[in-house]
Parts: sequence; C-alpha cells; structure tokens
Amino acid sequence: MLLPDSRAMTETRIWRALALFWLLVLLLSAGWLVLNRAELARKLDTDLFALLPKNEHDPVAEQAMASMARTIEGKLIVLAGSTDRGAAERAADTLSAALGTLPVTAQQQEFDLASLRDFYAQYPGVLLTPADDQALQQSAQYWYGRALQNAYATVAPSGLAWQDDPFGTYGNWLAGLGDLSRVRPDGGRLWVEQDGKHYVVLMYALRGSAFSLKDQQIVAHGLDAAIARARADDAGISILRAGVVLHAARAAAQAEREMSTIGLGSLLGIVLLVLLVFRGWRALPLVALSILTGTVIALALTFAIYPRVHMLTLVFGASLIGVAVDYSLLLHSTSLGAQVSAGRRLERLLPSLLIATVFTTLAYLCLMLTPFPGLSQMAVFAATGIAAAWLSELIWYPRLAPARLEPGPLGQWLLRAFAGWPRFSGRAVLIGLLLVSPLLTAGLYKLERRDDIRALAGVDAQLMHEQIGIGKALGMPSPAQLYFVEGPTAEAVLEREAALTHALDALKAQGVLGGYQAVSRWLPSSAEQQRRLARSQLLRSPALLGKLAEEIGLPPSWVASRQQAPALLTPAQWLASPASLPARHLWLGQTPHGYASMVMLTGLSGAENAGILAKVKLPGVRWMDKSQEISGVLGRYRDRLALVLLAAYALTAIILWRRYRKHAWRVLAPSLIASVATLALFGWLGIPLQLLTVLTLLLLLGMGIDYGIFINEHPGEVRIRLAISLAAICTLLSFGLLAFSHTPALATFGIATLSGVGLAWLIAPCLRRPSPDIALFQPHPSA
Amino acid sequence: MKCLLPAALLAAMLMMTGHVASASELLDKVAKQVTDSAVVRGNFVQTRELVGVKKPLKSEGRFVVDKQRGVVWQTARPFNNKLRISRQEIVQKDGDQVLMRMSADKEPAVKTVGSVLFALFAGDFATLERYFNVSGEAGNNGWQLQLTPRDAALGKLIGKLALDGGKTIAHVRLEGGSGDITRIDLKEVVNSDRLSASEAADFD
Repeated sequence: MLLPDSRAMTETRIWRALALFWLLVLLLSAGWLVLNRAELARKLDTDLFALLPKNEHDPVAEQAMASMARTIEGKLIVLAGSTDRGAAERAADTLSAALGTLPVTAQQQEFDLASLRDFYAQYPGVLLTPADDQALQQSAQYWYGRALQNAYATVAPSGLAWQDDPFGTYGNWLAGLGDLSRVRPDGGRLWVEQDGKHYVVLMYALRGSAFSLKDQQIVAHGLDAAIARARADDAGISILRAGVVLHAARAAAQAEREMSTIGLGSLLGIVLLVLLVFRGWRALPLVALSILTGTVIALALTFAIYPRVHMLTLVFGASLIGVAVDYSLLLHSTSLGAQVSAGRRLERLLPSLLIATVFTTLAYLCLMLTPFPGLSQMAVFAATGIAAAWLSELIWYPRLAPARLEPGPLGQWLLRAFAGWPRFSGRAVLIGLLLVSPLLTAGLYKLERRDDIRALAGVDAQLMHEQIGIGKALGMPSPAQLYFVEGPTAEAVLEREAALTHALDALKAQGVLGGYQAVSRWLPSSAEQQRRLARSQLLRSPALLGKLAEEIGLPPSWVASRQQAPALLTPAQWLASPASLPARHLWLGQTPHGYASMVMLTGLSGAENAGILAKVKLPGVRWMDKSQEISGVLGRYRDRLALVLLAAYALTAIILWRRYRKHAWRVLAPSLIASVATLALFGWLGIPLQLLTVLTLLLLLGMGIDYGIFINEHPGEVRIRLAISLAAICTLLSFGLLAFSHTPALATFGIATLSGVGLAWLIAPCLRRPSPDIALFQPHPSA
Repeated sequence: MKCLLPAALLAAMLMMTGHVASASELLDKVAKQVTDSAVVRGNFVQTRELVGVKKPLKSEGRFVVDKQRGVVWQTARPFNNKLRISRQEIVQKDGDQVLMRMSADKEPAVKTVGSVLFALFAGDFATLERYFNVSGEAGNNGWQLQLTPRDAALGKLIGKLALDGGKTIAHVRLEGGSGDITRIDLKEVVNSDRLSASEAADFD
C-alpha cells in the first residue's frame, strides 16, 4: 500500500519547480553541446605540454618555454637514409612526393649563409675565429704574407673579393660556421651523415595547427602511408620522423580509443548488471538519465570554464560513468520489495546521501590542489559530473522512479548471499590485522618513492626513439636542459654569457657536452667588440696596408678606407637583420627584472654530465633542467598531498566521531585498511609511490566512507549491502578499464582504485554495527 | 679553406676517365677523350684578376694527382706554398711550416670537398652532375664544358667554372661569386702509372 503523505518534502511545489528547472538546465546544456560541437571539438587539446605545470615564480623560464614550444610545434622533420646515397635519394623522392599532397609546406635550412655573410661583412674585426684572434699577436710580416697568399689563392672561401677581406679573417670565421648545423646542402638536397648512413633531410612546416585533430590525422596518416610506400620500394631504407604533430596525433588516437573502450565497456557492464539485478527494464531509465546528466553537465561546464580541454580529461571522465550511477543504483536497491513511496525513501536516505556526495566531491576536488592543469580539469569534470548525477536523483527520483522493483535472477541470488555477509567484532579485526601486518609492513617497506614526468604522458616509444635519432643526427640542442643568463642590461647579459661560454668551452674539451648555442657568438658585448678592435689594430695600420696596396696594385683610397675603425654591432641592429635568425630564439630580451638570454646545449647525454653542468655557478647564470624540475614539483606535491591526506583522515575522524561516537572507526576503517593494503600491494608489485597514488588514496577515502556510512546507518538492511555492492562493482568496472590506459598516470589511477575500492567494499559490511536484520522502508507498525 | 675547393675540382677534372657510362652524352664524350691513368702530373700558370686591381697576379708551379692518395698543388713563384688534399685532411704548408691543417672529421666542408674529389677520381660523373649543371660541347679533337653550381652556397664561392681540353684539361676559368676571376693554364701534363719518389714524399 502506498501512503499518501501531504507533508512529503519531495511533493512540494518548489520541488516540482526544481524538477522542471533541472530538466531545462539539462536540455539547454545538451543543446549547447550539440549546437557547438564543431567548435568544441576544436577546443580539444592533445598537447602534452599543456599538462605540465606553469612556472609562475619564474616568468623568464615560462617565456622561454613558450617561445621554444612555438618554434617547434609546427615542424615536421623526416630523414630517409641508407648506406647507398642513391637509395636514400629515391626514398626521399617517394616521401616528398607523397608529403606534397598534405597540408604541409616544404622548408629549406633555417639560416641562409649568404645573408649572414652580407650582414656581418659590415662589421669586420668584430668576429674572429679563436685561432685568428691568437694570430693577432703575430708580426706585421706574418699578416703581410697571409694577405699575399690570399691574393694568389685560386678563390676566396668567403665569397668576398680580396680587397674586402685581404687577411682572410672574415673568410675563416664564415668557414667556422660549418658547425652551426650538421646538415649539408648537396645537389639541391640537404644531407646529414649518421652511423655510416647518408640521410636526406626533409623539413616541413604545418599549414594548420599541430593540435588540430583533423590536421593531425591527415598529416600523421599521410606520412605513415608515404613511409609504407618508401619501405615497399626498398625494405632496407631507414626512415626517422620527428614532430610534435605526430605525438599529438598518436595521443589523440589513443585517447579516442581508450575513451570508447572505457565508455562502452562501462555502459554495457552497467546495463547488463541492472537488467540482471532488477526484474524487467524499469530500473534502466533513471540509471541512464543519471549517466546522461552527469556527462552532459560535466562536459558543458568543463568546456565553458576552460579555453582548451585536454583529451585525457575526457578519458578520465569516461570512467566517471561508473561513479555517476552510484546514487541511482543505491535508490533502486532500496525499492526492492519496498512498500514506501519513492519520495519518502529518498527523504530517509537523504542525510547519508548528502554526506556521501560531499565527501566524494571534495575528494575529487583535492586534485585541484596540484599545479597540474590537466588534473584540475579532471577534478572539475569529476566533481561537476558527480554533483549533477546526484542532483538528478534528488530531484527526479521521486517523480520518475517506479515505487517498487522486484529483484531479477542475479538480484535474488545476491540478496540471499549478502544476508549472510560476515560481521567481525573489533577484537577479530585487530587479530586479523596483526596476522597480516608482517605482509603489510614488508610491502610498505618495499614501496619506492619515485616521481617521473613520463607518468603524466604516455609517449609513443617508437616515435621517441626516432626523434632522439633525428636530434642526434642533426645535432639539435636539448629543449629541456639549458642555461638562462640574466642581467640588468643587454650588455651585461652578453658579458655574462661570454663568461659562461668560456666555462663551457673547457667542459666541451672534456667531452661533457658536444657544443652550445649562444647569442654572444653572433653578437659579442660592445665591450668585447671594442677589445677585439683594439687587438686587431695591426690589421688597420697604414704601414701594412700601404705595403700591400703597393705590391698588389690598389689605390690609396683603399688604404684609407681599410684604416677606419669599423662600426660596432648593436643588439637592435642584430635583431632587425635576417642574420639573427639562427639565434634570435635564444634572445629573450626585456624581462620584468632586466634582460635575459638562453644558452642551449647540443650533444648532451647522461645524468652525470647534466650534474656537472648544473654545478656551473656564475653571476646571472642559472641552470634549468625541465624534466628534473617537473619531477621535483611532482615529488613536492606528493609529499604535500600526503599531509593533506593525513589531515583529511583526521578531520573525517572528528566529523564521524560526532555522529557515530564509538562506532566511528567502523566507517573510517574500510578506507584506511584498503589504503594501507593498496600501498603494500604496490610495494610488492614494485609500482612506485607517486603523486597520482596519493591522489587516488584521497578519492578512496571519499568513496570508502560512502560505503561505511550507508552500511552503518542501516546495518541490518541487506538491500543497502546490495546497493553499495552495485555501486562498487560499477566503479571497479570503469576504473578497472582505466587501468589498461596507455597513459601511465591514468593506469596508476585505475590500478590503485581497483585495489582500494575493491577492498573497501569487501571490508565495509564486515565492520557494520551489531544489529538485528531489519528491513527498512516497511510501513510503520503504527501506520 | 684557401682555394681548396676549386683546386680539388681542378685536380679531379684531370682525373676524368672514360670508363664510366654517364647519363649525359656530353660528359660521356669528354670522358672518352680524357686519358685514364693512376697518376697525372704537370705544371700550371695561374692568373688572378682581382676586383679593383688593374694588374693581373700571376703565379706558377706544378701539380700531381694520385687517384688513391689525393692531390698536391705546389706553387713555386712568387713564393713557395704547398697544398695537399687527401681523404682525411687538407694541409697547407709554407716550406716546412704548416700554415693550416683541417681534418674531415672537424670541418664538414672538408668532407664535402673530399666527397666531390673522390667521386670524380673514381670517374663518377653522376656525382659531378650532382654538384653542377653541365653544358658545353665535345668534338673529335677537344671539348669544352661550362659548369654552374646547383647549390646556392657553392655558387657564392664559384659563380661559374669553365674547362676545356683534349686528352687532358688545358684551361680552367673560374669566376668567384665576388667578381674576382682566376684563370689556370695547365702545361706539360703527363699521364703515368706511379708516383716518383719525391712526389710520394710530398704526400707524406
């Protein structure tokens, strides 16, 4: 018999209005998502850099990283190599023909030797090779001899007329530019030699964005097809690829695959479970509705809040399906054989529901305590998704839920089985814990702490291998390990840079690094330029020039013009000229506290060498190791969040004690035991403790307490046991699928939740308050 | 780097052999005329016309090319200067004093020169065509070739290269990117199958 109850809160007019309003919100959000789907798809981000924390305390480093990312993100480099030059050329032709049809533009080498030569010819005496600088100490006779040799040489290597570079110092400096790049133009192609193979270098710039999903797929697939064709012609050909777009395309494809696996897997599992547990299909609509609301609201809010939404947020978001259904499963479970209206049941369960949701949502929001933009997005997505699913239940359940459901085949069996769920006394629990404590302690003892930037992004190993190969072949500088040089003025920066390069020269001789790229090579400080001019005074002496003019046959005007001290090169002139192209990206210019530049390193390998470079201490010089820095941030936040976790347990314990007094431990213990056991398990499995593990333990605290609260609020009610079991199974299903993610961070999340939630679920009913089996939601005897 | 590249090219020209089939009919004809041998030696007279300088600068000396070991370019007048190009390095000597030594490992340009040189030693006309666009004519009693570099960078050093000869190369005219012009006349060119003792010493 249903009891009409005029005082039921859920029957009030406000509640009806709320139900309509919430429906409107859902429809508007869904409409907005559908109408803007094309634009929203463009907001999807696959940039792995976007997941890294911004360094707010170091705007110079931030600016440098941003400029570097801009420089490299639109580039695509392909190398085709063989021991046989002809074979390499044929493969390169196949590749470039195929790539010609893609949205990419072929590019030449970045610097143009001719424009460098013409620009620096205006500043003779400023640029000298170290050997010529040394030779300035030689006699006038030596330089006279050198000038004559040059006059009689077959051709000048500088491409300048003899009268413009009689001593050949400028020609020597130009010849020394060979180490700028290992790439050699030859026969209209660019070549590089590596490990006994001749590689043709193909360089392209993307016409679209590296992070546009559509362009990514076109370029990545087109390149794959081109490579397949080249390999079909010649199986022995060696082809290397590098480009942010390729990583981004790979990551996007992977994320899409995982999203559909997790999403479809969870959905199918949940539908099957609901159909087996409840008789008929009537439980399905509300379950579907809560998944729909959770997903739609979370998507709409996340897209509305963030200018770009990362694909990994959606992968993680897909696993929330299993959490969003918790509340509707819980409510449906209590309607098995119920004789009280849906609204009344809801009102009875509301306090526990409210506490449970607040705990879970807060736990997710703890992800926002980290400086990682990706994790904050996931937190917002999860928290809004859960809150929305919960609100849907709260508002619509009384309207839409069938008043009474009957158990299906699985439901009947589970109800019977759960009726006999063992209960352990406090003493039994202590003894049990004592017995397993050696296992737990050993596991915890084995647990390693290790934070690795690679955990955040599942980078394709093959692509990475090829990219490293290209970096080595082309002698590209490391983008993650470099020096910053800062000073109050541009001049000071250049002076300090010169001191640094002097120190680096010594380390280069020891083989610590292969070379470096610095602005001061192209633009010496004006003090240094003046010193060089003073040293090269001899080359402007009237006596030497006059003797040469007489011997060769040049007019006095030539002597007069060569005598003049040349102009000094200023940073403004340098920056304005195309000659600054090879090094312009190194000049960071004006910063909040002066000027800054970068010195980048090539041929750097091994942590040991990086350690030596980190020890270079000079005024205004700062070493930066980006990957180490991020690992450091991860480690710092891991420790910080471990403290937050402890504080959360303490706070929760106090709150629970106020409500449950001596039974508070029954609510808290499932989370705590499951967390410790998970850590021990990780120790035994050799999975290191990292930031993500600690974050999962926070979530586990939230979810585990849900189970504890429901079980202990209604300790004798078998349907509550069924309810939390269904919730736990759905969560395990979703997060279990997440464990197979290629992104290590998400996989860790998955594994930790699998073990933690699984244990908390199994433990919670065992620790329930002693109580006779009482069925809830039966009409009061008095009614 | 002084005069290395052109000297190498010149030396290589001397070594052109008629053994290899070439895509270009012209080069094929030239190759047929030029005598093939392990060693080529002779004398040279070089005249330079520098921009802004009225009187031409004249120098002379002798050269020897060994297909296996490389090239020695020995200037005798107006002063002594020896340039030796081998697979591994390029050395310039003023008498016994080494003025300059560049190894192929450190100076990539040396490697480029070397690869041109040795490709040509082997009579690899495909390589010659890779570096230069070749035009010209070949009759029964002689030939002339005009070579223009394919790469802009090489073009800055050598604007144009012209060669003529018969069984051996007779004249070379080289126009630098800056306008300085170099003419080389090769005289008393002799083919041989081995180096003399003193020539061999020059290579060490």
